[in-house]
Amino acid sequence: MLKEVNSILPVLAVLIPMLFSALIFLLGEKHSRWWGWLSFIGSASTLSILLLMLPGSLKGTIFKIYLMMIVPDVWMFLRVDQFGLVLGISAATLWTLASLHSIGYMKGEHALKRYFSFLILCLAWTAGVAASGNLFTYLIFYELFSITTYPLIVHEETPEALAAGKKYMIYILVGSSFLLFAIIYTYFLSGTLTLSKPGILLLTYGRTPLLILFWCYMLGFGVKAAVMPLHGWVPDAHPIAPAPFSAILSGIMVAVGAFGIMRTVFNVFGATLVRELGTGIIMAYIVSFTIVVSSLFALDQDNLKRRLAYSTIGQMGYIILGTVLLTTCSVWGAMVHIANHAFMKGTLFLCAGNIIKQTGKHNISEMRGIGKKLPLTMAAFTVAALGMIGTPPLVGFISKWYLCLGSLDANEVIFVVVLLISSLLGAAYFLPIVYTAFFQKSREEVSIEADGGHVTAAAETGGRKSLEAPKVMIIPVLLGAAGVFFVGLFAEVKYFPLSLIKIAASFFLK
Amino acid sequence: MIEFSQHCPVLMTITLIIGGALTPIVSISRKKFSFWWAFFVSLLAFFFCSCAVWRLYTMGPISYWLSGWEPPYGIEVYFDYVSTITFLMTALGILVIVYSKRYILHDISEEKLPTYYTLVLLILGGMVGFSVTGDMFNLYVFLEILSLSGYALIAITEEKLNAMASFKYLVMGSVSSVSVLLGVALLYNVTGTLNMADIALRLQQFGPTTAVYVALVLFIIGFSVKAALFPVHAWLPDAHALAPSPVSALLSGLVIKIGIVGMLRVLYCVYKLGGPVDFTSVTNFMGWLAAVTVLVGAFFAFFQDDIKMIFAYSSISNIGYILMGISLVSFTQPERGYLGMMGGLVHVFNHAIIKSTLFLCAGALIYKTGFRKLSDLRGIGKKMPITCGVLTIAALSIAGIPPTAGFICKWYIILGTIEFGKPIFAVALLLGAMLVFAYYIKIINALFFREPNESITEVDEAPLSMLVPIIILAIGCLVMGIFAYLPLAVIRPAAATMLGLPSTYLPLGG
Repeated sequence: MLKEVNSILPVLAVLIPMLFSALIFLLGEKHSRWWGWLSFIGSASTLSILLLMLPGSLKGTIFKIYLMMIVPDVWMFLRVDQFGLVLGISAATLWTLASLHSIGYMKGEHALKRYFSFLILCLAWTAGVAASGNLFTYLIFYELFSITTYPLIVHEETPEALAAGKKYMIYILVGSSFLLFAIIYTYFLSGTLTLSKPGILLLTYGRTPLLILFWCYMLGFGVKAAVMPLHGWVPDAHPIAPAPFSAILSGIMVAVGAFGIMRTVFNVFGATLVRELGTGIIMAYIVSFTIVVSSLFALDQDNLKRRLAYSTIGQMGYIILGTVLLTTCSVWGAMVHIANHAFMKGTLFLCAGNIIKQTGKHNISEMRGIGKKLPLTMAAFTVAALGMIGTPPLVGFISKWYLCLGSLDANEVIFVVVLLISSLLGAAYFLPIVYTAFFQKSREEVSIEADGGHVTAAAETGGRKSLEAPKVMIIPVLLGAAGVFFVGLFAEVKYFPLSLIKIAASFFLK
Repeated sequence: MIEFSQHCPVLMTITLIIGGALTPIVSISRKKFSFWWAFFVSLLAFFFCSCAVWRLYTMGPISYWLSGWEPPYGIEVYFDYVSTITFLMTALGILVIVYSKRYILHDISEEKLPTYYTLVLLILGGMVGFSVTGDMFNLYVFLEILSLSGYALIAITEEKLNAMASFKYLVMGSVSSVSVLLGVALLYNVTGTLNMADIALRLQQFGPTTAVYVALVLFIIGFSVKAALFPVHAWLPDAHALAPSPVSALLSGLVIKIGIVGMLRVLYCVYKLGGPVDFTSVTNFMGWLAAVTVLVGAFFAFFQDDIKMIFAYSSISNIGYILMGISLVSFTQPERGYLGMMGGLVHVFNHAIIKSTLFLCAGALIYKTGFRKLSDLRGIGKKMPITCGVLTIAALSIAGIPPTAGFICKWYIILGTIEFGKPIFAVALLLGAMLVFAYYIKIINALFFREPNESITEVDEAPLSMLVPIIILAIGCLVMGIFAYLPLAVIRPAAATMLGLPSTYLPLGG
């Protein structure tokens, strides 16, 4: 049974990263080596605060706190339910890994103070999004998150980065305008913005306003969740950002959009109302299109991070598909995929970061033989890629299993087909990378063989020297890969995401 | 204290005007002393204003009869909820005067200091008097005082372009003053009185004659010019952009609001909803013009390179928001206009704070670098981090990113448009806000992320007397958003009384 208790923990989860961000900002150039470590410690402390809520949350406790009244009758209200906690813990975990990775990856880069202070500040807003108890609070943190990521996306300050940043901003602004309108309209219709009920809108408000509202929400969150055709910013912004931040962009930021769609469906409209409106199935077809087409686009990319970005677009489609099908299993699959995808895609992007940092190669066609040079990185990459394809017992399989079960429950076999096609395409665009890395020979090796086996000293060092990344970069990657494996293996064990999600889903679908 | 506070509305007006007139005399031997005198006078006015606001808050509106002559025979000073804008005027006056200490010597010679401070005090006195008077003829007199000081302040730098801008403003301003004067004369002709409350009463008896209608239209035209409503906005960009920056802050922050206050007084205190004249056709038309104003201002701002020109055009856009808010009224159901009215009124306050922050920041950049074009100010963020940081806060605020001050008006005006059944206005507003943000992104990009301009390498942070006012204002931008219930405590009764509702009216479950 769910019970609500007042607690300071949700505030701490937002405040701690903010304080660390301020601390980094105030530390002078003299202490520059501490910036990265402070951001790591900040993420880890946030993670531990969130983990403190885990045992209670599993018993059905919801942690809430009223912070202050912003405008009359509308409060800044934090409320961590089981579903929010899943997003929060996934985010904090990924942030911990990514900030550790950043220490190595960003070595020698410019504007590090800005990078690290904004990086950790973004975690504060993500924790806020996860802990929002009403749409107003949600909107505040969501917008702050969108804005704060901008300096990180344009970090390189090159014309391409600025162009990608501009594109990102325009997409996000259009989306947030729809969102603002939708939230205000919701407030006008229902007089409340709370996210603590399974639905605040009623069919008596009339079908037309509700339909307008539904599609405004979908447009608003769809931009961030990269639903085609609103995905335009993703393939530009992801490759241009520094790799550890791409991991966050892809693993969490985009998922925050999907999280918003889930909140809309479960807490604003309510499962019953969405069924009555019949909009769920239309949305399901739209995202099926997204899933298939994005995978096709991914096949065509040679830039590794761009291929991963397209894969993200497809994966968000899974989450939304599971949400709008509204059966117990599909909702489980969708919710757990937020956590699972964060692990997998985070690991993949961090691996891509290692490759870029150590070899300077961005394109898959240049990656022949790097498996020998970066064995640990590529092993982790392989695990995560297999997870994306949906190989049991990795995490990706768990999500797909429940999504397929859910589609069958909803009597929509077509979506099972979509999921299978997507898996096949996933194999088609991930396995060649692994193949290229491990089984193709690099140009140096080829030239050695062409020489008839005469190994010159230069070729020796060029071909065999291990380029493996330093510890701070390799540990997060390996931890991520371990997560992909163990979270999948122990999926049904208590304390793992699925146990929380089952509690949340039973409340949402009641 | 209560006895004393009753005199405060008169005292603050007199202090500013007499203080202004005395400035040249007290600083006859030392020109620089005029700063300290102006500072002292504005502090005194601020103190009186605080007392008046305190009294308003505890005991309701103050009606003060000059020399004890009972209105309609004597002159009435009426300090109601709308008059709380004087609090902002006097506070901003202090900040602008402090800021001018260093800045203004950049634009004018020391000889002219007393003239400058005289004009600043007079423009403040004119605005304060305008906002507290209960007499139609005084309204006109104060309008002239502040307009004339405004023309002189723009032309004070003796640049050719400034003289042109000032002349353009003068021509338009004269039209506006003459319309207002004619309107006053017509009303006096019909009713035989100049006291606002008395006119309102007598209009009931006389009913809607042609003269009354004509007077209404004249007032609207007159105040529209002052507020820079499309299509009579053309004077604003040059005047506001070319004036010395502290003057721009006053003009853009406060003087254009005089047009709004004037409209509020005439429409809702003299003509009144439910009165003899159904003026909603006029306000409806004004609403459409306001929607166009929002878009026109935002659109033209897009093509500017001069940083102050951008801010000036964005003022036009923001005046559109305010007018949209206050024109959403229904003659027979006043409560339907409540939320829009509140949004408009809250933005009168918030825009004043935000826009003066922007202009003062721009002034600091111009003072230090001598450049005013974005393309020349590239990369200045690294040299002047505080100024640029503050500018960023203000830019986010004016774009309406929650939880800053600019968001509150968007929230209420959009709520108002929905409540009023004109969501199309909300679309215009959101579109305008989007455009606005797009060009503020351009500014932020130029300041922080573009390749630095080589000729500004030796620039350092602005002097303290300029930093302190802008930092205080930036804190204002945040506080008015995060603690929005503070200004709303005054604005809610203001909106309610304007619409003829009881001042404790609370809709939407509040």
